[in-house]
Amino acid sequence: MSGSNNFEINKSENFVLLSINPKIYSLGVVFSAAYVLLEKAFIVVDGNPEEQLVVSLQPKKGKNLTELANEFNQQLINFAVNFDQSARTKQIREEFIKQAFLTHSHK
Amino acid sequence: MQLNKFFVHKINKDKYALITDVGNWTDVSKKELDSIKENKIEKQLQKRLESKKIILTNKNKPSIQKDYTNLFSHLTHGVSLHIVNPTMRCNLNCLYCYADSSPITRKGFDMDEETAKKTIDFIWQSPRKNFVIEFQGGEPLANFSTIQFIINYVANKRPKKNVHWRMVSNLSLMDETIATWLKKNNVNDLCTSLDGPKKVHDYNRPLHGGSHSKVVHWLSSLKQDFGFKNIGTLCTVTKHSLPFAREIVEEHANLGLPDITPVPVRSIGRAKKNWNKIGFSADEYSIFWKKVVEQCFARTKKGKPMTEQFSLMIAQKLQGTKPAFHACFSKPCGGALMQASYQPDGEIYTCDEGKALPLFKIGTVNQKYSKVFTSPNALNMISLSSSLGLLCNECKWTAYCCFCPVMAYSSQNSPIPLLYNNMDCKIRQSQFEYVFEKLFSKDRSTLLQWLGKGKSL
Repeated sequence: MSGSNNFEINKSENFVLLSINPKIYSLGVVFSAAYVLLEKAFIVVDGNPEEQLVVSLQPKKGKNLTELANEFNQQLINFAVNFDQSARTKQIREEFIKQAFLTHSHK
Repeated sequence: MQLNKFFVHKINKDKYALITDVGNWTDVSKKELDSIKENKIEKQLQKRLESKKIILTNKNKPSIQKDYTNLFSHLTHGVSLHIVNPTMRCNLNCLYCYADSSPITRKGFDMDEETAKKTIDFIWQSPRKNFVIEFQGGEPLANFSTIQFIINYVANKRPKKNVHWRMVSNLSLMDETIATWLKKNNVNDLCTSLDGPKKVHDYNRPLHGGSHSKVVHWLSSLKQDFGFKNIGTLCTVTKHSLPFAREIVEEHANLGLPDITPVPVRSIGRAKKNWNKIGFSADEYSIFWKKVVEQCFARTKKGKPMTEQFSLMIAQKLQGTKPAFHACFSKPCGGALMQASYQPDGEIYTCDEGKALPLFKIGTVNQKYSKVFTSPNALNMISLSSSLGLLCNECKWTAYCCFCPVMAYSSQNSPIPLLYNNMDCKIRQSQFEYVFEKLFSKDRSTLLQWLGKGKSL
């Protein structure tokens, strides 16, 4: 991988391989990011969850490989923020849900 | 003395707004802001900041607690808006139909009487004594007999509940018999679409022979001949509407309408399929919207009042923390909390836009009421739309804004959107900034006039 990005493009076989640090992006974040791109690419998540995750993206319909990899990286950040914020706000969201539950589960 | 959590928004060269996360706010000068940052706040400023709840004291803490209670009170009220879709057929073929309605000649898209009965029996399990039942679709008048069945069934239903009837219709299937029946049976609250003058309206909402003339006719006739007091209108804005801001406002004025609600087209249902033809960027919409507001300001100053509803709604929020008064402008949003949408086949969805997407189904009318509204999908919607899983609560507009998981999912394929790319987010930011700017401009008095007599900001 070059210093400026975390992916390698294989033009001849039309896929891009991303290397992801599992200490920065958890498996949950990686799966969430992958899920959003399921319509656009065939995706394999592999590697060692303790050391390095490897994600292979093969575009479904003529998608540019660099664009696809960049889009995946954007979603990694998006879900990393989402996971972080959700953890911080877990209690208050649970309170919202408890209150809605009480309101709607009347006898 | 303890500072509350607040955000700073620069209004102009020497004016800053300090906004708390429940929406209490005040304006300060640059000098005053610097004194706050340096913790050298003069007594006069201290008093003002305390009254506006920027500073926390034992005296104002109960009031701040009340503000939080108000902001989230809709969590305790139960569903107050039940949207019943007697059919998904429609005689129009609107370019942006989020329900992606079916042609009126097709079969298999109507609510039968058995499902209608089950729907009402389901709604009747609500603990609320008062609620709204709103007919939508498709075009609800395409299955008028089911509407009549429902209203007659409710008339004899026990225990008695206080139902406010509402209908959203394109009015093209309206006739004298229907209008008379609706008035007689207290369906007094009607709403329709008016996208602008004929060249705009008929382009967006094609019908053989034109749909604009039908709307114009019935807007007048329903009031004059049948005694309906007010017919609400929504103006959907598409790419085609953008050059006609002035004409769209004038059309509303010429038809005697007191206000305009220019809703940006949203990428859902048929609109998503037609996005290349009708879509626009957030910036393009914001430019259009500001022209509409300016036009409304100008008319109001000339003694011909016309209110722009989004700027009014923002101004109302700035007046003080109130309980959520609109399902789409609260956090959590009203989906599966303040409203629900019932399909012709008895499936229940979080809201009227949610009905376009299977992900937002929360149950069916064959289930118990409590089971549906406490289902994982319903509760998930509440958690998602609280926006607490996003960075929204780090945004200065958090108190006034809201988040729509339905739009996020439809436009970005995920209910967790990339906010920087989220059209709703960009449009709202632009709108809040604009209203604040207007509050400290020569247009302030017009905004106050729209708010009503005796109101201040």
